[in-house]
Amino acid sequence: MKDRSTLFGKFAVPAEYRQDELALSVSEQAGRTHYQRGLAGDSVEKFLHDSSFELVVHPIEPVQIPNRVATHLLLHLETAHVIGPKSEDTIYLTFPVEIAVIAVKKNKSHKTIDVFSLSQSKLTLYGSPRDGKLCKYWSSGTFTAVPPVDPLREGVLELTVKNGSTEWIELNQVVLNAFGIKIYYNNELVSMRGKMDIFSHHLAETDIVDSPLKKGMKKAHEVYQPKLLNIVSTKFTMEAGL
Amino acid sequence: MDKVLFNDVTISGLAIAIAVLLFWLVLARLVTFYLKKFLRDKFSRDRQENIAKVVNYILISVGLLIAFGMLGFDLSGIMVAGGVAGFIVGFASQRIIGNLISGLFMIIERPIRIGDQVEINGTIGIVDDVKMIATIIHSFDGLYHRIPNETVFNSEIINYVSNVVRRFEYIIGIRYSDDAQVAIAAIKEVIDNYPLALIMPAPQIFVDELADNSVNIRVRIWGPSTEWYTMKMELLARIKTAIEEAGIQIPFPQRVVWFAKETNDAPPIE
Repeated sequence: MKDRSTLFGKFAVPAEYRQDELALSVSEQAGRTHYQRGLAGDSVEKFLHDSSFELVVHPIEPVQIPNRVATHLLLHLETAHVIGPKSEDTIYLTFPVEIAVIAVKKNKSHKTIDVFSLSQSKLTLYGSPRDGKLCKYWSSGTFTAVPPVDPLREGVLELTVKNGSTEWIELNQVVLNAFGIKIYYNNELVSMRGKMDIFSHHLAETDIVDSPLKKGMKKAHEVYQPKLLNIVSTKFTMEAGL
Repeated sequence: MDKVLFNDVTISGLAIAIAVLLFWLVLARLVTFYLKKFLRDKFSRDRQENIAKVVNYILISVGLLIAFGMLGFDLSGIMVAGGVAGFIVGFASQRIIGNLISGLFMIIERPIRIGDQVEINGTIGIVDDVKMIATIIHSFDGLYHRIPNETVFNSEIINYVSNVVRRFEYIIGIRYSDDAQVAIAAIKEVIDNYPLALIMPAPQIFVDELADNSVNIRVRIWGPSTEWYTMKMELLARIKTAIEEAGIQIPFPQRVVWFAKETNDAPPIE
């Protein structure tokens, strides 16, 4: 079995990857593909049967864990960022990485086999218990350039913040809609780009920009799809505070 | 087959009208079945059922109108004409009409949806269907409950999953000789490491009561409405393990009994 040095990318059968608490292997048994994954005491084992497909491992929208109940991602800024009136700034935040193992056929149809994360997962509520949004929570430092991160645990969000109000705004959190999150990756970095328009102390709008942070990065399959007949925007209006 | 029965309708005409009605009933059934399959991954179950019901009722209504038309009935005349017959039928079926209207209001107001965990009139369970006349609930022990819509609409409805999140709580008693702060720290660590326990609204852990047998610590935790029961089942066991590992004990009910001495210390009997 071939030992892989990198996790992201296509997994040719047979192959194995081990790092710290993570062990992932793909082998063939009786004409079927046998997938196994072990992580911190939790294990997953599946058999896949199909005429032709590839197994691809890459980061996905970081809202699947736990239990796929979160619909948004909330990044709490450990250091508040203050932006002057009518000004614009670009900051870099981190976000948790969730990794998916996906079976992809030649006609591009795909099926998510497994999702796991090496980062701690927590949920939080943005807004009121009645109509707030359940968010995947992450506490991030605030950086002025792309920070060094472990791509298996953290990704980098480049956020362009525009303060359109006439007041100084203190930014403590950013909430992104899971629908429309575009993840780009290579073996050194997992990234996404976003923008935030601030209208007042209590109102802002966020959106994702569909482009990679660096040239040559691959785009991840979008696992979190909006339902066909629901009109869902990729934007999110933050009305419960910044 | 050419014998006239009523309204210039022959036996063969009646048979054709019945066949047409049956055709539309079967068509309504088939369309509803395939529509639900089509909508399965696109809408919530509640919305799927409502859309399918509307389409079903429209198709049946069309079939009835065509069949009645073939039989020579003028439905507009029936609707316009009042009369004693209409009054008697309306009076006799007022409960049914009340249930029907309540059902329509429930579809508009939507206090409950298919799949919701609810409590209605003392019945706790999961909503299986909201029909025209009645709401069907299956309780957690698998029993079938059919509640007339008028009763549902006029009752207090508790919907356990209507809001995005909900709170649940435990009361954990520890010995008076144990350090409450150590217990609170152990409980907090369990909650902090449990992914589904929300960061905001923040959990609350505090000494709530100095009771007869124990110091009672109240633990309040918020979680997603769809997951709260699983959380409640799992977290209590983990909290018990954590506080025991921290050297804290959960006391049994106990009494301290003082005996008066048999000598001069006994109070005088008067």
